[in-house]
Amino acid sequence: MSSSLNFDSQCTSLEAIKKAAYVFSDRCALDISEDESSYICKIIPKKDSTIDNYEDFEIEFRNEVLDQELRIEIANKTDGVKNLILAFAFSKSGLSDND
Amino acid sequence: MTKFQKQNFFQNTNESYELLPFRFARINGRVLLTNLVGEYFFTKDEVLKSLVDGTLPNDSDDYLNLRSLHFICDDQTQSAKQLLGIKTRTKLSNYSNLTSLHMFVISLRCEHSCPYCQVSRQSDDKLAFDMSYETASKAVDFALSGPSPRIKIEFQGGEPLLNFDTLKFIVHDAKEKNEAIGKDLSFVIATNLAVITDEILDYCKLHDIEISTSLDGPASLHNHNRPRPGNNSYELATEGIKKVREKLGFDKVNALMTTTDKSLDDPRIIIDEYLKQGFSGIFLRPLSPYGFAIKTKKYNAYGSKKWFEFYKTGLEYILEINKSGVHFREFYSATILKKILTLKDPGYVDLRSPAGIGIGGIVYNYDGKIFASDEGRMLAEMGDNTFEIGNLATDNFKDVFLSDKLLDPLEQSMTTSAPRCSECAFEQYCGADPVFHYATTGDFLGKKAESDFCYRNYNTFSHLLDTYDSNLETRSIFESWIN
Repeated sequence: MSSSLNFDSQCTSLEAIKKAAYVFSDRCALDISEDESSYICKIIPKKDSTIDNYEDFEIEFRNEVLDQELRIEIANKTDGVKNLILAFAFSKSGLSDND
Repeated sequence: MTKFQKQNFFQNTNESYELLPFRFARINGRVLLTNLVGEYFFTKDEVLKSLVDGTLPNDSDDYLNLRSLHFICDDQTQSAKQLLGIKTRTKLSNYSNLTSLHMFVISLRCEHSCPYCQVSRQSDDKLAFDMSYETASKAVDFALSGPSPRIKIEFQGGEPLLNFDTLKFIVHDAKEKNEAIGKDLSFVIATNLAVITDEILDYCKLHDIEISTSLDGPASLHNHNRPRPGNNSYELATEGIKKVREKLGFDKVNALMTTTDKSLDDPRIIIDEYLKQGFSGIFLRPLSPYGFAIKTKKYNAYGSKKWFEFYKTGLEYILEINKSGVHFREFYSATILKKILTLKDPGYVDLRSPAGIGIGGIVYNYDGKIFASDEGRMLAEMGDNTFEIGNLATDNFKDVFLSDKLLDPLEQSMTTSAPRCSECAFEQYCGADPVFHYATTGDFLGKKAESDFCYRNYNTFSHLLDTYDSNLETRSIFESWIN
């Protein structure tokens, strides 16, 4: 048995869907395709999958996609300062050519 | 006259703030935030969203807490970036002092025949499986040539006391060579205590050698797990523990237990046994997927979910014991709590990234082969030499530590760049375990959604943090474990 989930491609990033798919990869594989306005995700359960209720799974998956969107947003907003902090942390370590 | 400025003095007059790097996870209806160095903050979902949107009110308690914990900075706290940099450097400082733990497998012989034993033991009449003096001397040279100021030599087997002459040779050789080097040198013997004698104990006393033994629980469980002629492993171990304490001192012996399928029924009887034997704690560790544990299907007899239930029940019981006034620790929890609550890395090999293989501990096999970890040696016993990183006959310290055989698994498994780990709220507390993942999935990184290592640690971190943060009495007990 398989089922599909659709995500509006204007509002949802493909990266977030893929990251969410990775989180659930112990339970299913995701076949992702795209039409003009949506990402279409066909859920392919693994053998002995614990997906008994697709409605519950859909809620869980959509929430995970939202969390992944938030993680991507945090990373985008903080990657610059993260690199700055790490550069400072390693600046006296002897690992840099400029030490 | 006031000594301190009022709170509004420190208030950010500029409405905007800058996000600093952090990750989040959801635990029992709450949101856990962890920053770049693992400092944490529990909050609500709406606070997380407001925080990321840049709309968190600058006079709210959440704002002030998040600012003081370096999740955000504003005009008043630009030094937060430098402080995070210094904390990062402090946390990673141990890595420049590789390698402190040196495991010498001086004999594969053993008179036990434990079905889950992680090395393929040989019968006790095969001298071909003992380390020679020549190999031992080269191993000592290798161990002393690294940058670590502290060197712990751990004698392993098989049963290392079956090759006591080589053990004595190594202690003498290491001490003599170290006189010119001046490292902090210590010794520990990992033994089942079945063959320990007064002569051996006198030698240990003379050279300040500690003992690490195995105790799996009460007699019925221990003897079931550890068969030997006479079926008296428990009796010999507990008598040995008493002798060691009498001769060397009470704290000179510690014990490790292995969780088999037979242990899972009731952790409390195992904990009671440790209390009965006078130990100050227990390490509720899972069985590893190597050697005879795989061959005899012991590893697959239970999964990480069953282990986690066992661990939670055991931890709850240990907390009850502490609440009754007896100080008794669960060592795995204590190690993790130290990582969560302090910037000091306890150096636990399995919870390090870069991984602890080679750079945390290294193994010299009886035949001169060098392995990146004890588990890597166990894989070799099963015919897979992936973690054989050199040979004492041909390689020096630099050859081994700059070799691709060591650097590849280190680089490929680092959690900061691993899928899912890089976004995990527990990344700062966790580790890369390339040997475990290689043994179970065939690659150094593994698939985190299916990883027993990931399941076990994610749930343990969640449980410990939630428990610590929800109950003042438990918090106080946990803090006493790390001090």
